[in-house]
Amino acid sequence: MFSRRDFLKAAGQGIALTAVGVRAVPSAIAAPVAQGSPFALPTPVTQEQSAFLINGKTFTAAYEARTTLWEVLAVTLGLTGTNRSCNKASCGACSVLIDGVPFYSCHTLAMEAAGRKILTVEGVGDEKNLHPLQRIGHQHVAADCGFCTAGWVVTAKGLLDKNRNPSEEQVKAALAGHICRCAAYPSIIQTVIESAAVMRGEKASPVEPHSIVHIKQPMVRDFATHGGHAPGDELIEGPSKTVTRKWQGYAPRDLKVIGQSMPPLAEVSIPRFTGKAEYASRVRFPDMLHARFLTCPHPRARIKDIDTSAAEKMPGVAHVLTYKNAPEVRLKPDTTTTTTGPVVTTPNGNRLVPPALPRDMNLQGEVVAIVAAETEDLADDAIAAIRVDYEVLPFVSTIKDVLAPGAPDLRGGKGNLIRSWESKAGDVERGFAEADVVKEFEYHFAGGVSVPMQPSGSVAKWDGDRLTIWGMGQGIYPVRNALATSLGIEASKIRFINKWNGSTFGSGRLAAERFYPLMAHLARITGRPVKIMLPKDQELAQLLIKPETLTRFKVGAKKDGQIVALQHEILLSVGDVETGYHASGPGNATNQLELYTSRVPHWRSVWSAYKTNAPRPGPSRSYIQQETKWSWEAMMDEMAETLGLDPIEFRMKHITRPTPGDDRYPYDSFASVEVLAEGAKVFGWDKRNAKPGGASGRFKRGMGLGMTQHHGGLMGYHEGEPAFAALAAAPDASVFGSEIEVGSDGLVTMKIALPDSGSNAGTAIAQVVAEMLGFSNRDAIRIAWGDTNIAPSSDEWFGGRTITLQGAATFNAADKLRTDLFARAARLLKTDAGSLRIADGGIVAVDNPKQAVTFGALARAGGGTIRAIGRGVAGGERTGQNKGVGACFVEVEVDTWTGDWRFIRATYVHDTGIVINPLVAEADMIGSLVESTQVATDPIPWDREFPGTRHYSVGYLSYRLPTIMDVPTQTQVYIDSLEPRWFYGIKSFSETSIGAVPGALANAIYNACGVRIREHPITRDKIMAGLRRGRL
Amino acid sequence: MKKIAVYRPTSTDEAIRILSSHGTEAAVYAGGTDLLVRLKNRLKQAPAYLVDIKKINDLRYIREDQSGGVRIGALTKLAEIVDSEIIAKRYPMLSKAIGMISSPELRNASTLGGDLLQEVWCQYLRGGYNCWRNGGYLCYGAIGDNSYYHSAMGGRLCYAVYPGDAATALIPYDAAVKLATPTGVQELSLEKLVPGDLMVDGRIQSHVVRHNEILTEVIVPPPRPNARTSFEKLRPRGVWDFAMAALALNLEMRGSVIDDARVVFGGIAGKPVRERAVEDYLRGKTLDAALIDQVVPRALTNAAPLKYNAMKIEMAKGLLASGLDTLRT
Repeated sequence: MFSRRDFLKAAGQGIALTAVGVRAVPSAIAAPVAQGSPFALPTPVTQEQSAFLINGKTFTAAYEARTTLWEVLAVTLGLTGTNRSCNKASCGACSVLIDGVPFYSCHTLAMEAAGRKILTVEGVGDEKNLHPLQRIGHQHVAADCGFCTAGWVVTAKGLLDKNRNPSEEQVKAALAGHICRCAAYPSIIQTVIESAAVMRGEKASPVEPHSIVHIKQPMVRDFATHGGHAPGDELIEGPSKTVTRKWQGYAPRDLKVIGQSMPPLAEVSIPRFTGKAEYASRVRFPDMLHARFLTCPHPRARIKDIDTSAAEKMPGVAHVLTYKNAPEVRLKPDTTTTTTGPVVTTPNGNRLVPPALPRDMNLQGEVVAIVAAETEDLADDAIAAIRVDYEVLPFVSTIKDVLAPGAPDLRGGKGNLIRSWESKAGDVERGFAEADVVKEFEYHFAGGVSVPMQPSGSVAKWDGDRLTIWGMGQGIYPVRNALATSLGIEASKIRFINKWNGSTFGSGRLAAERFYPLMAHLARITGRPVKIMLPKDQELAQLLIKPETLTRFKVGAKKDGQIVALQHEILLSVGDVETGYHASGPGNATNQLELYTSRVPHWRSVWSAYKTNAPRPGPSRSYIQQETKWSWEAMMDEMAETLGLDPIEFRMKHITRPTPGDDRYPYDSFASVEVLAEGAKVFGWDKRNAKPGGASGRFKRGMGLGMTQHHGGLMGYHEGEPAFAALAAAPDASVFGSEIEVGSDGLVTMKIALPDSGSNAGTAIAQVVAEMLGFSNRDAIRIAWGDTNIAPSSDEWFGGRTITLQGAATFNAADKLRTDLFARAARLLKTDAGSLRIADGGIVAVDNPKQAVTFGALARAGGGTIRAIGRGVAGGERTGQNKGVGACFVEVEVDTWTGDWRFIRATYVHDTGIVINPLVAEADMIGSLVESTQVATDPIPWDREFPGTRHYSVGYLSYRLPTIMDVPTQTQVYIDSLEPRWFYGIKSFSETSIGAVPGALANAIYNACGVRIREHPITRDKIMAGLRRGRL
Repeated sequence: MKKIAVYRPTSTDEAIRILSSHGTEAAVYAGGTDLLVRLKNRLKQAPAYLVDIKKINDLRYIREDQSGGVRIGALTKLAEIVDSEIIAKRYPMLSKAIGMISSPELRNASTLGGDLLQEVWCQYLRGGYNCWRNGGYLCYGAIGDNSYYHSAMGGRLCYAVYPGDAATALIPYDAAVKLATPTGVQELSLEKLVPGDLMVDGRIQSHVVRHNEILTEVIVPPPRPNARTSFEKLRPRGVWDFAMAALALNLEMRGSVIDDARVVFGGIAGKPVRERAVEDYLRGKTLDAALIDQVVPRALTNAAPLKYNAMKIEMAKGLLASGLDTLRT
């Protein structure tokens, strides 16, 4: 319709007409001629070569009939800005404009776009010439991980080309076909509306957070209501009474940069908007091979034999890898656990999954063979030709089945219960005898998972004996070292690059990491770079999930509402992970137990891990949160109702309140009371229905809350603290390193190993460094990161360790650098360092502003650069002394006629420590709530009748990520409970509040319509069933 | 993606001849939004030969006909129907229903013909299970997780729900389609086009179009005077998702009295379910709250839910109450 006109227009702009045209290559598939038909069949097209008018330039590409436009753009032509995520037209990441109209390039055959005018993100603008959408999007943090960004930017450009003044509703309607995994939807909408205004010639409005209520806490706090700390410059830490300099010498006073809302660092953020952020999935070489997997269709089987002979002869196939010819993966002995069977470990001993290409298949979707071929399609053709002879074995994939008599024994006669742990206080039976009210509850969590938008994967490339890996994970040195061990080469021969991730969530990195050794092997034996991007349905079987749990409570309370006895029993399905993660012990799960039992005299908690043929458990955007806390939060509400108490009042009676001298809770920053009280105030809890379902009419609103205790970011020590040396010298020490460099231009570059998954942690660290170095803004701070050739050795992040431990290393470096700058200035200015002050990129005499020297001049005097390396280490007593609490208040509306419900609004409350950058923190937390909403409402990617992930083959139609139409209005409440152990009172947000969301939603639905959902997930059919039961 | 060979005929006659030559190995290719998913998943049932009908002139239009009705070419994009002023003004329920299909980008690609004739979205078929529609002799949905994509109204062989919303919204307008066949043009009502799972050319499908026939046009009769329509769709998310239950309601009113009614449910059975018992009951009655209470229990009385999908029926009944309530003003 449009193509011809637009094409002529393009031609008028000087594009050679002759270059355009479709040339069909004779078919490779011979078309049959119908017997006796007078009609001669034309020749069908199986491959052709055409010109494409992309971003005003003409490109020519040859492709098969089945080749998608995305493959021509990103693989054949190297226009890698367009990301492919779901590959099933269910996310929008790959959108491009064709003749001004948005299409999903993953779901458009290349032949459809031949000769037509295509616009990709590269054509919207580049870093030197940013389109308003890109510039304003960067300023408003409209991209966290950035993997969806290229898609919506292009669609929004298409909208603005036609409508320079779109309403919010029009923007939402236009962008409805774009999933933002990080739920930056409010910023995206604002970006499009602001961009339109700027394009109309109006002035942009200032960049501000959307919805933050910031409750500042005093530097010296009150022990009467919450954790606190005494006045003075010193802090007595924990049971060993270690004396620590409060705030590490950097008090949260007279701050200039910390606490300011500002966009993320440009070098990290802007490439997300221009299509230049180098995700592993964007790495491309012209001679690259593409790897694809054959996966096991059975939940449990043993491979008797594999025949790959036909596959190996298929066109374009370079290599086929199975258990028969896979290289032996050398394992580092794991000293912390004992187990039979092979395990792959990393230096921190936290990663315990079977090596890739096992012969025994423990879950549907396990990888059986890997094919490397010229294209993904050719690899898949070969996969289809592999014959596998399985011995299909009986399986058990749910807790219900594992408990059933006669369940198959997956552990060779040892029983499927891997182990149980018990913790207790008092005598629980005596407690029940003393109670006025005793109630029992049972809750089921079906499992959940956080799927990153970026397809998990990597690229491996050898140059002689040197290997480069572009990976997707949460650190670069530990995986590099583990890979070196696996390959039997020196770590220094491997360059590991991982700068941007389209998120990892803990769940995603393993799906990439598990295959690094095999990708390196394939690249070595084929002599070509090899790339893997897991299709989403196959990826699901490789991700770590929040496992299925069954929780039983028996609770005894006095009439006044005090719990006197509590029995908690939790059963978990842990897949084939027999050691590590959820099978290693309650870990973080003790947090919720502690939150509510600190004042309960008699309690008992039993944790039992069962081996199953379910997906493997582990961190999945937080670790041991929703899967254990969903039940606690529902139980607290049900018990409150039993006792006739308001849920907040009931929680207030029980929550932990650290007090001086009570070594059980050595927390100096723990805003348990404020989180509930301030959150309730901001949310408007007083307007809650007194009676569940009490409102009249068809649409009923309800309010609910959930609360959570979590680690406030795993802590440790920085170099210079007394505990550092011994911890850092341990064989499996978890040491972080950072380098800071001042150049002759006076600019400060931080060199940090950690990749950025969208939390923009480097931005927060940069603001702290700017503050430490006396700047009044962040403009002089740069970051170079995610590359073993650039950044010093450092451990990886999880458990909020970026700001605490990578922070420890970086702040330590800044502290050293500051001291060094003073010393150099003193020498140069021939004065005493004590008479100098640091300010705005220079060192100045306190009493004579003219006696001054800039950082740049100091660097030049010192030979060009001044460097400092800082270090931090995990572990030690401090790890457990930093806790966070959070809460989530939600309002929902239930349609009592249809069972439909809407998530209206949420108040998300965080015990934050000092907030370094409210704007960036807000962006992260908005995504956290939406993520947890998805976990609460979407079934686990595991079929209950035919266990497996195969039916997840329709992309995000079967893993329903919330769209721009589905998200609630959010208010973030920051309670900056200053952590006196750390620089400026910093602690990690650490997704503390994420565990509160599912319980809050279930409680709100109950409050709205009287339907109590004890079986996760929260679905419309369960609400409807509850409403029907109520009516009968 | 499976290997494909693509023909680009320039006339329906040529397309039909090509289709006839290949039997069930070939299929019509238009927007491709459904077909590409099946090809990407390498389903056995996915065709090896695609007959691209987009080079055939004049299958993409929305025009008024002499009767005052509207003709929509089968290749008309869903987005074009949503954007059409004629449709919005005269057939608002069609605008609304099609505006709620999939996502904006997919509506730019999908055609009306493709939406009507799309394959079911049963997760077992799409996941490559060896089911009735994929070369096997079993319905996994009947015994598997049937909470969403499977019929609560019984089935014959395949229990998958017919997923198209356009058909649900067109039936209450008494719409019909034109098929180009080897023996000439045929016309049949929309209701007869999608009668649910049945064997055609040795395959299970939801519609009656044979492998060598091409749907070319949708004929929508003139809207009735004093008609009030309502389309309701229940789905987990506001974009993309198929109906858990849907309802299309077309009431011809005389004041507050219902002169005639069309009541069609979607998303609950292997076909759009026209509830004639409800239509008969409504006819001649005053539309008020009492009528809603009386009529809802009379809907879908022959439901036959599977293990996990009984609530589809309750939701559908809720939609009927909601739809009638919306039209009661």
